[in-house]
Amino acid sequence: MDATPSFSCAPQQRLNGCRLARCIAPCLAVCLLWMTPHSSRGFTPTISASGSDALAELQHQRDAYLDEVRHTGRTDPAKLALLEQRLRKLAEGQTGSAVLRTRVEVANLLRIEGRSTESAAQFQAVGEEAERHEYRDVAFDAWIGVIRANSAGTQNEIDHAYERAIAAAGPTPTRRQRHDLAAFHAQILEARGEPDAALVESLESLMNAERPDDQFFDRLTTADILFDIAAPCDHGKMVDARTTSDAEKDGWEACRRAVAAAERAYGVTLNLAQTQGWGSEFATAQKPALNFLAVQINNNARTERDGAGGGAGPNQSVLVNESFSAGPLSPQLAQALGAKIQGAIAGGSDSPRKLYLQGLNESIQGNRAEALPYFKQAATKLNDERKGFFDPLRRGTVIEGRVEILQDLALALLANGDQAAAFDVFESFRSRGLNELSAASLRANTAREREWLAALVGIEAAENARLVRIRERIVSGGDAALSTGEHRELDEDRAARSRLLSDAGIRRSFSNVEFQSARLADLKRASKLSGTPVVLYWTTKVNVVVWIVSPAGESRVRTVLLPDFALNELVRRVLKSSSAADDGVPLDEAAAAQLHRHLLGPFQDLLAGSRLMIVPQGALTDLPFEALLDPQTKRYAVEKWAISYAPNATIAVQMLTQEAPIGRDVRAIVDARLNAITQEVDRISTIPAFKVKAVDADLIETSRLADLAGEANIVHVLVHGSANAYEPTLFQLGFSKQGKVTAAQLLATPWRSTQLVVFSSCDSGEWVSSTSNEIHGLPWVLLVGGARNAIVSRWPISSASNADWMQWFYTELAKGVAPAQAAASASRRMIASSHGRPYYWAAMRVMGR
Amino acid sequence: MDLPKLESIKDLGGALAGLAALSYASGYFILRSRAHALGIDSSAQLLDAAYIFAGFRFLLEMLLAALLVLPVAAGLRTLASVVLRAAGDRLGAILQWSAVVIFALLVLAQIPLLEVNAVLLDHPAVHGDSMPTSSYLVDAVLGRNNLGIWLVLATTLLAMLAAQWFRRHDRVHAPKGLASPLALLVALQMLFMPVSYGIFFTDRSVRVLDGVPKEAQDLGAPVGIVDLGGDYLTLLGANREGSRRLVLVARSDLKGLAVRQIVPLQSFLETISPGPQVGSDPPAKPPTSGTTSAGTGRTNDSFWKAAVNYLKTAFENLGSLSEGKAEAGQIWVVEVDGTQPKGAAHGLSVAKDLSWPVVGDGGAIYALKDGAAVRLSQSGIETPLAGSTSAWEKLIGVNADGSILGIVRDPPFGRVAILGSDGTLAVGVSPSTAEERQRQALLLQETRSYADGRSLAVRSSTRGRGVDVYIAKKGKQTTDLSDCGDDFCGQPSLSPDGTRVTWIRSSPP
Repeated sequence: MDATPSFSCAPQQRLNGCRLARCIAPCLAVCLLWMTPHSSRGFTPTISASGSDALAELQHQRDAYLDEVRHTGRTDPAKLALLEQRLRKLAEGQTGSAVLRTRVEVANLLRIEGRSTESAAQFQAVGEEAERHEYRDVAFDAWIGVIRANSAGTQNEIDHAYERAIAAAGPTPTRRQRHDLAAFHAQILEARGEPDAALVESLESLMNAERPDDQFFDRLTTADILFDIAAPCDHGKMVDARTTSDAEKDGWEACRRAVAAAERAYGVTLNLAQTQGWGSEFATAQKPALNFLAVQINNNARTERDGAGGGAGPNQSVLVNESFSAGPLSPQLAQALGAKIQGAIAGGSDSPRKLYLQGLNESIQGNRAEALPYFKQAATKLNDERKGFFDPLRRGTVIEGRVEILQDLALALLANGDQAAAFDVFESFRSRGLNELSAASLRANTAREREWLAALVGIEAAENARLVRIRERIVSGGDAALSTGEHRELDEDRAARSRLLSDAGIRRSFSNVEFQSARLADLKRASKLSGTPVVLYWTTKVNVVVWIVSPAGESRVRTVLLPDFALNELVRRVLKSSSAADDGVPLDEAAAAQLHRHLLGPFQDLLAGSRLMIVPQGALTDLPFEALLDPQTKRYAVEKWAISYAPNATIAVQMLTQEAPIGRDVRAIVDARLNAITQEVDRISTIPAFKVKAVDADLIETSRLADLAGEANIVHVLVHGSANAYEPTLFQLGFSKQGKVTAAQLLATPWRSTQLVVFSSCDSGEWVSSTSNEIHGLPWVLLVGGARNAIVSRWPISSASNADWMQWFYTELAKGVAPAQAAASASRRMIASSHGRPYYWAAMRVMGR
Repeated sequence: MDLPKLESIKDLGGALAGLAALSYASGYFILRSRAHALGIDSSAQLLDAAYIFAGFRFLLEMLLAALLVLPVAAGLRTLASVVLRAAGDRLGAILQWSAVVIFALLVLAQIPLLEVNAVLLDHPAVHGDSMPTSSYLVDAVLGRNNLGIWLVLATTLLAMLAAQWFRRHDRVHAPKGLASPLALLVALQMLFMPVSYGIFFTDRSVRVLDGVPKEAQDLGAPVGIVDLGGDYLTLLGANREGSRRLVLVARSDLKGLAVRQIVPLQSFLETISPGPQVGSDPPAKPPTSGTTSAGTGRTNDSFWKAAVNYLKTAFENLGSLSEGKAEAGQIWVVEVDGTQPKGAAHGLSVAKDLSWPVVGDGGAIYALKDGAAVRLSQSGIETPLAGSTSAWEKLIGVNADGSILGIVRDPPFGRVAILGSDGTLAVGVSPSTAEERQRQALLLQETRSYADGRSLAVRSSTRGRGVDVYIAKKGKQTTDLSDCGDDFCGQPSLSPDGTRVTWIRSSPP
């Protein structure tokens, strides 16, 4: 008998893939629909014994039942119970692989009946036994079954089953196996918050889909992923492959096309369902949400056009609050929401999502004390899920799609007055991947291990750049299928990664890393020791959470009313005007003053002194705080404070508690042509305090990047830099006679013994940051590598003015001050010169002390 | 034979043996120093016979040098005697100590000579792994200036004066304690003399081969022998990228290969530095030994004159620390009025592997293809130019007489070159001063500034993920000329009449 048509229901996708904030209603509706029993794809019995005929007959009955459900929408538990009874009886008389095949079918029925936990256990048992007896096709079906049944389980359980399914499929999987692997990987990736990678997997799955039902679900998955991709348009613009031709448009065209692409994908899915005579609920469930998103996009465009700036007008007062709980809901609304949540979380194991929804339900009903334990359990589970990944570039993604769990927990703890616990929660997902990899890199004792890590990150980065391009092409209306070239390149990336990961010895060196996150008390100590106040920001939909730890030991946390839309717009204006090379473009002083009023102004009493360390998040990671303008004094922030940055509190503590004096040995890696023009390194060499050893950048060999930093205290790099528009970790430096060197390759360099790294190169500080503050780009590489202080550029800098800045910076540094103070002094000197625009002096970002 | 005669013969034998030993020791230092300075020490075999020959030659030339400076030494000696007599004991002692200090400084100043290494390669190192540069010292090693001659004469003179002092120190009331440091300095100088002789003078000839031996196939013609070892020879040539390379081959590998001519090393380097002729490229005219220096010097003058006066190039640093991403692509062009485009930019060339386009009078466009210069017809078809080599780094512009100005490869700064309309290629010398290096480095940047205040820059696109070409005039807003979206545009240049801008447009990889 041939494989039966089936619904490969993946409730986990529907649950985890939906972002509660945007789609609770449609999500719940879809989830409920998908929780109705569906069959799995049956395996294909190949034996002709009477037992296999009997199994085929029972599968046929199951399919008939499912067909009826599809058409009528009605379930009949009695029929399923009877089928299960017959299957169990059949299994009693069987041996060898036959009994395992029948047990797989029993597990399928259990899942269809909604008994997911039992089903998963049954699949797991069959999978392990089939592996022992080397019935690989049975093992494959069993592990795929585990993934399906574990839809409410943890990410680790799902990942583990997926790995074993890959192993069971072997090096040459059948087309059906390739399809199943791609289809489920798409769902896993979507649940992890990686829509680009998920989109590509769903397209690969579609390429291998042979039957209409497979095609239906693959197309539905693709449509869901495209919806996920469009979803952030509710608050920000996006870019696609046609953005460049939108010159005369309002800038929101790519978002509109993303919505249209999702609508098209749902439309294709709907047609397919109708051709088969199936219900159309699945393909139309997201229609209201898509319509709503389209309305939001138009609203955003209108608001922007009208210049409202999102409600942060110059005369608007700054609302600072210390209440962290949302206002009460009406009893009717609370009841309705509660009912929907209860429906969505019925059955299944205690996943982070389920626990969070239980907490949310308690919170909605006004039971804040009861909500807290659920939030805590959800957060613990989520943190546990992150363990065991080996995914250097995307380590943070496991919580990107579920950030509300931790955010709500932290706010609930703050509302309860437990600052220390709230701080731990915030810190638990702030650049945690960076911390883990940084701790892992400590184990890289040999050049080979570092080079291995650099190669792996390089492959990940290259693949990520490809994924972004594919996504942009499809969103812009391109063919929703992979081209031969794209397919080949992705296959090459995967093969290269597999080759690297097959080195289990090295892989072990970097896995299961334990590290200690900084706690509030640690940060207070570091702040006191260094005399530097630390300001941590967290952006939410409506507010910016501002947390200040002062050297006096005070910790104050407040929310400042500043909707993310307005914040994004203000940051964009400051960034655009301050980075403009054109002297005819002045700083947008109104925006710079507005941000000062909201982000620094209300907390001036705690920010006494001349230093300030900022731990930004969201849109604020790109903001040059130095260029914010005090509306009272009309002076730049850098004129009052020496400002430095850290990506999280753990790294902030490390930076603030390091030994103070920076050594005098400077290793300068120099592009001779640049130096001939600006004499930047020659000028640094004239400062008597420093012993400068210049190395020609053209002589750097890519095979010897481990020796790049040498034993110097300071590494100064004066070479051309070139940003990669698709992936910042592919940022290129113009040195090495063999060609350019990417940021990823610099992971091969041990930076831990370097006290200060200065990249006098354009865009060296360019990064992308995610919700959890994971940053990618050269700064990420330097921090992972252990550099204690780093100076990188935010935008393409003028080589002439930068040489001046650098000379002044090193002159100050020679006096024994911290890098941030030396940078501030250099900037102040430049402000007083003819190069007073932030473009000239705010380009350099100091990460460190 | 009577005894006195025997004694004389013994003395003569002893003297000859001593001379041979001295020659051998000097020859050893000379050839080792030469090998280190040129960069052939890792591969070359050195021979005892060669040491003695080099040593004798050194001694001979030192005697000639001594003869040359003898009048100066005699004059100085007389002057010193007069001055010291007049000065009295105290002042005399101060003067003598001062002279020793000057001697010591001169000796110390020769220490960097020991670190000169591998000047035959593209990046000669002057101070360990520090920045390589076409420094005065490296130029001296290559015979491009007279530092070596002056150094040898000065040290010979000092050695003679020191010898005089030792002979007559009792008459000049030599201060106590002066003899020991002076003796040490003299000893040091005696060691430095063969070293500097080896570095600056020994065997600066190249035997140019009539072909390229099979074992050195990576090199393009011409290839020359720079060192004759025992069983092995060291060949010098340039590879396909125009980088100089040394290759060690067995003598037997050169069987049947004729030596075409023997030329000075400097001339040979001038010939190969712009890049070897490979494949079927038309051969560049190698400058002959007699005209190279004057010719290249004139080339530099002509080049800069045309760049400033005709192309109106200004040398203001408007560059950033980023560089363009376009390496080769399709040529685009737009008419401009000041800083405003007149009409839409349009693609010109058929080929998409061109770089550094420039516009000549009458609208003719030239560009580089695989490092060789080509001319584009109105329909965009390119024709290789006679005399063009495959080693251009960048085209700068077209002169009024139709000759093309550009820079040929010679890292890190390249060398200016002029390709005449008759196909003759004249290559200038490397920039040797900081000012020259700065000017040439500015010319190598993508950003171009002109005497009329306009500038061309390459920056990230504001409407895509690519790179655009912008034009600006001081005090006015920049204008995007290219609007390349996600494509990479770059390598812009302005026509001599200031009405057309060309650039390269390429797709991202």
